[in-house]
Amino acid sequence: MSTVVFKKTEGLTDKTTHYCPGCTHGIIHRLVAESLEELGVLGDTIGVAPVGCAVLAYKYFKCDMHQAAHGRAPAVATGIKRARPENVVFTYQGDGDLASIGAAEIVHAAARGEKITTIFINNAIYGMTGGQMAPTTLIGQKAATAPLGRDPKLAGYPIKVSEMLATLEGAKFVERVSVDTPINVRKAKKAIKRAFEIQLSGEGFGIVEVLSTCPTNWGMSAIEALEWLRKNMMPKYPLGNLRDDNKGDN
Amino acid sequence: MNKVLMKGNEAIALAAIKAGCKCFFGYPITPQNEIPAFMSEELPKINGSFVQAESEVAAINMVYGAGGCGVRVMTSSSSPGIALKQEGISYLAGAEIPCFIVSVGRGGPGLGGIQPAQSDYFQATRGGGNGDYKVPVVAPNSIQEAIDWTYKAFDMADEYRTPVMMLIDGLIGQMMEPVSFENQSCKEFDRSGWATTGTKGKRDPHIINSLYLEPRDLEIHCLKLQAKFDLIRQKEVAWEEHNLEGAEIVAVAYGITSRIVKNSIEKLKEKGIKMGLIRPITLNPFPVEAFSNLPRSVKSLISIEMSLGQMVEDVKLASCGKYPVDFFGRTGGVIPTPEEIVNYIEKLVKEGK
Amino acid sequence: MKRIQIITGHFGSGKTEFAVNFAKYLKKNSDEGICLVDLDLVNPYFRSREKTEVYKNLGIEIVSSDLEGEAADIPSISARIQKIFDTKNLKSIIDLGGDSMGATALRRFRESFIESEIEVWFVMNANRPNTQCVETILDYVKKLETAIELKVSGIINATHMLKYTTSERFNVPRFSN
Repeated sequence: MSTVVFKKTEGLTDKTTHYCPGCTHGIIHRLVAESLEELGVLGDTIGVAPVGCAVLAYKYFKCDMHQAAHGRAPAVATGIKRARPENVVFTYQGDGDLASIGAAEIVHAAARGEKITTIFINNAIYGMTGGQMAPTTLIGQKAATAPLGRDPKLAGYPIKVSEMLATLEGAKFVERVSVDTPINVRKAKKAIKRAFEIQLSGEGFGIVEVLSTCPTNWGMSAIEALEWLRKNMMPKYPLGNLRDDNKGDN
Repeated sequence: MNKVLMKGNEAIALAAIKAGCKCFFGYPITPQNEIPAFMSEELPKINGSFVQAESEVAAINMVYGAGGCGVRVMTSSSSPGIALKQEGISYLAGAEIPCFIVSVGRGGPGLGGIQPAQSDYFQATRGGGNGDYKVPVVAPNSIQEAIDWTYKAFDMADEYRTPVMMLIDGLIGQMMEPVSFENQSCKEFDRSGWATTGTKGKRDPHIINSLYLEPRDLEIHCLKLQAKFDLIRQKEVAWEEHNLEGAEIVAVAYGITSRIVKNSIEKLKEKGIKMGLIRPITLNPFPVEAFSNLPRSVKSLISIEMSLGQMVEDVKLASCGKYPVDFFGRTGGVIPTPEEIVNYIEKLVKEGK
Repeated sequence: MKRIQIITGHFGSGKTEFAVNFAKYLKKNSDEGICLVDLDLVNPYFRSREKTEVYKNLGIEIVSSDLEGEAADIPSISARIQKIFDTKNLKSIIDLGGDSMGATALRRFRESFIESEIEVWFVMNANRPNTQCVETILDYVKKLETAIELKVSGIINATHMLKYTTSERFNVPRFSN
């Protein structure tokens, strides 16, 4: 009789994902699904998928899902949670979806303290539409709509979403993590689980910003992309907890 | 004539720059991403301004700003993004701001699909914005025509102080054809009577506005907008007639569908069926004149669209009940083949239309 | 030709048509497995992968994205692409999307490049606005070489005007400088 040391989480379907090799969506989907399974709430969960590479997330998470218009996931999630407060509601959004067209929606869902959980995938580029500049694209970083590299004189500066949202009283839990090393993957899962716990205890809005790679649009191998993330993204978007209003109670 | 091979989206962007466009505000969405990418590269070279806005809503409002200053400006998007721009378009029409809006159609409703469709006819011609307004809409069926009409659209926008929309389907945006930029030109316009450029202490302030709280004032304003559109209807309406002499059945189609229909007409000739084509080039104003003097041989009309039937309503209105109006369409991004159309027409003819 | 043939060029150069016909030619004249890799991430329509059934019937394996069907804009790459580098008895043709954004996708496989196994050909169409004379073509080639970090060893003149191509058009005077 053999011992099972690792099993695919019940929170993911058997559909093969379309994500590129080296894409961090795969890991992050797993962390979210495992967290929901371990908290015993998978059957009560309703997720909201974005417009972006994760537009097909509704095929990969094994729970009820809504596919939302670009940027509107926090508003859709608000509608769901207000209609069904006993359910667990999460949004899964990229940097274009959340920080560009959805900037108003995320700010106000957080400000209102909506009891939802947002998983924010920050890879500093628009993946799905072919590599355009994102609000989190770094200075000098090349993109389809910044062919010479992001120039602050023309396109301003990248946005530190977590720092911004942490100023809102309705946002009870704001943490930035990465999935570039096994240690960071474990820390990311802890943060994601805590963000869901904030929702379950009725405290309020929780968001986990996950620094992610896009080897395809960055033009790097998977390993190079992780190194680029560490060297360039982490100094600009430091990892750590930016707000945890009830830390003392743990 | 020197021709180059260009993709529809690129060609329209280049034509806009040659027509004097100085500002582009847009957002990524398939299948029109070549337009913002081209503009991001080329506008800075001519001291123009490119901004990838945070959303299509922000982009159309940036157009409102730049257009109100009298600068030639454009935006582009695709169906779901054009849906977002409806509020802005209503404001642009109400405030009489010249600008150029390119809509590259894909399957809908909602997020739909990325393949080409013509299911935004209502969205373009009726508009989803509030109030009494009409936006001229032009629908080229080739890249050369798209280039020529880009110049015309900017002139029309300035001449009548109105947003002008170019509606193409994703296929025209993505395909390539040989084109030339040698025969186009643009007119000069004096915008000093209304554009916001700073009073410099020398004139009364110019106000860009769509708010008229006094009902009678708003009515007068709307009547003015309507009179403008009536003038556009008289002077700018455009359509193409093909093979109408002796035709028993006349198809009405625009954009890429019109080219598939022309193909079908050839095939039907071989089967002894005479079909003609009216191809609206301006969808708004719709070419009602084309339907008033059809040859005696014509027994019926059929609207052929890449949708479940939107232009067909205008065909019925334009033909005033004189002929039965049928419909053939595919939607969701499915492109009809000439064979399908031929089979359908043959069936109609067999059934005595 | 080498084991891995990369076909690149500006979009509209005719490289996909060339890549596809070259694959067919190789299959006819060879016993080895032939694989056509569609790395055209820039075009949402008109891509090699749209004819998957046709290639299957010709015995050519096509590798592109793991997304079923071709009607999506997501530039997802299949992990199966790695196998063309690792499988030594497989001949492959990579149809590399036009412009540097398309070339960006290839860069991620750089660590698997073995110089002696790879050759890059550049397909040009002198009727495209950016490649109408020697200077601009070479400039374009240099940009591409920088983007993919490989040298271009051959230029294929596929000058055409789609269905309007005539034999006169093929000898574009400007190119003879």
